[in-house]
Amino acid sequence: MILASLLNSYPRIGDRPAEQVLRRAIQRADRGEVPASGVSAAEEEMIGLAIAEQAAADMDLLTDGQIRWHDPVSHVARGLAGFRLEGLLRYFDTNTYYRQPAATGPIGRERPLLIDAYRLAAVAAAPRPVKAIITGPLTIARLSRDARRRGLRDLTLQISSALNREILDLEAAGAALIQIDEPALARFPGDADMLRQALRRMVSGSTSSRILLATSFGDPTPLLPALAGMPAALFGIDVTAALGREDADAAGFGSRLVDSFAADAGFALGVVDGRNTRLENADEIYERRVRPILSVLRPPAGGPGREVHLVTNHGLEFLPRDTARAKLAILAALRDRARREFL
Amino acid sequence: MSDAPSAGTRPSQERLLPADLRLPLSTIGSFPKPDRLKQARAGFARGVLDAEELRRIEREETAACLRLQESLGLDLLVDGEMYRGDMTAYFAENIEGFRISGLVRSYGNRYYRKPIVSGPVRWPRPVTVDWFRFALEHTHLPVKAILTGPYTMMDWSFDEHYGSREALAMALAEVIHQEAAALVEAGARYVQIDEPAVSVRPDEIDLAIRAMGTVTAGLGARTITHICYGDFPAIYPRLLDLPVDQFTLELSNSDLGLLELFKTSPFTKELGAGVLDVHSHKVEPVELVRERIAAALAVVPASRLFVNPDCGLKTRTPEEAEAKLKSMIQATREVRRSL
Repeated sequence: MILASLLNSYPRIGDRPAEQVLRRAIQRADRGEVPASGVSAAEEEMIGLAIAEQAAADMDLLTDGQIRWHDPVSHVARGLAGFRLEGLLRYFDTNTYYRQPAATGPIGRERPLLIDAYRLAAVAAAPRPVKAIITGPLTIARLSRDARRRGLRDLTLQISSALNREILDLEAAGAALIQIDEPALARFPGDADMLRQALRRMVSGSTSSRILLATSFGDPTPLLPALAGMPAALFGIDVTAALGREDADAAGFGSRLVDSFAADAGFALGVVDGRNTRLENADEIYERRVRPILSVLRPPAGGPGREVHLVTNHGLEFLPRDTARAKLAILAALRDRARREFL
Repeated sequence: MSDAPSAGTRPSQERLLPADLRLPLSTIGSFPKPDRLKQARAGFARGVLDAEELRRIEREETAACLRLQESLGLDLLVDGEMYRGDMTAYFAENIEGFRISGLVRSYGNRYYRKPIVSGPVRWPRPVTVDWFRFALEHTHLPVKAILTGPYTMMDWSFDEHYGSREALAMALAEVIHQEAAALVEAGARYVQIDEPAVSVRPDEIDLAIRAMGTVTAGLGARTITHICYGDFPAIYPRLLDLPVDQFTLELSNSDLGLLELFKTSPFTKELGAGVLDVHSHKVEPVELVRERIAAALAVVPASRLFVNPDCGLKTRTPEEAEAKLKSMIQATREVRRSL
């Protein structure tokens, strides 16, 4: 199975008036001109637009664009007991910010965090499936301030336990694929053992959903053996970062994937750059990145083969909307060529 | 292309802070844009207001901003950046080699047009010099010139041309040096080169230092850099090797956490201590600001301490900005009396 999909986020704004309803609603709410429900309605409108644009681009698996998320860290932490949100910090090497959580007490889930948003997106996207997305425990712990001073491991594991209930609730709400985003892993590869333990706790008891563990913000190559031991069915790999600007030895990288992971492991291959406006030539990217890797992963004479998602290597919220749409079109073109050759 | 007002003449007098002034009061650069200016900018963007009319309003509001700073009691003024939108987009619009993208998100409900480098970057002509001269003509106090640094311009742009972060940063450093030199030629004695991106990639601190070295080389002015909202522990004390005289830093957003860091290794340069949280609507009480200044004095002597907000004030309403500055100025005066 070869699918095309957005990794996670999508722009909340565009240059056309209809694409600016959320910004206007928040401005009006700030001035007291509309109640908070006005913002919520605008968020739903923008989620609908994000879903419609993914469907129009013929994505196989949709996301809600994370339109409601102020940032990947505080959106989850704000729903967990034991956290207090503090000042702004830059989010990895981007020029966007996140509000830093401070862990001040025992961590627990106060209420479902993402369930309503998942249900809303699932209805809007039907019949296309939606993947649920949640930030992982290592990233939240690493990007938080531990005011309890009980150590990173303790905090990571406590977050895992709290998010376990969220995973089970997402599964109960019908999420067949749950993506756990762990951008911190590439920055802190020494945390891999701790993350494996944390993820086991986080997904414990789940039966019907599959987990996609997504990495980003760094070359995943050194992480491959450690990733292979994580409790996930699919692995998000930033192929763009792994191969570099010159697309060095894509077939060799494909072989490393085969050598590192189990035969039934699937991959979300970040073959299109979600952080640069330069539009890839689909034919060129196909020849240089996609075909060499798929040739190794899915030899034409093989059996059922692995599940492969062709994705952007980051969410698209870093790009202008027009460029984001163009990137989706490139993904669809890559997917179509890959299906013709490998299915 | 420069969008400056009518050029003035070079001032005959040097504008310097009094040598015996303790805890000079300044700001980071941007002030809130009044509603009439926002409406004018929107009208210009829609094509219903011409450039000349927009410039007239920008000049009026710049003069008003300078009057406000004087009346409040600031010592080192800025032009308030009434004519700038985003800190990177403004320069990108005026440097060759850039084009401007659609809107992308910065944080929360704030968006900006991120520049795209689509060709070799070149300094076509002075960008901010005529605005600097305009400011000097409208105050008797010293004025700080504000530029965006090469590392930040590189990091906050999409690069479709160079394909190398180092090559782009160093090319931009040459461009920004030319602008800084032109400002000094026009009388600037305090030049701030903002580098908020420096604290984001600790592995590139050496590149940021080299690029800043190119910008400040041979400038006959006090040099300042402003950095905010990043991973300071990862780059301190190496940060101090940035070749500038002063760092204006956000202390309040991090609840003075940076000062604890500076106790681990001496802060050897001038510190512009951020004592106002520019992302909070709440106006800091004088007593709280006084405490923040006192905490800064515990790590930097008064002879090397400046007082300023955490960051640019454009995120606040005019009323909030003025109230916050009043608190900062009152607190500083009280601390000065106790020195």
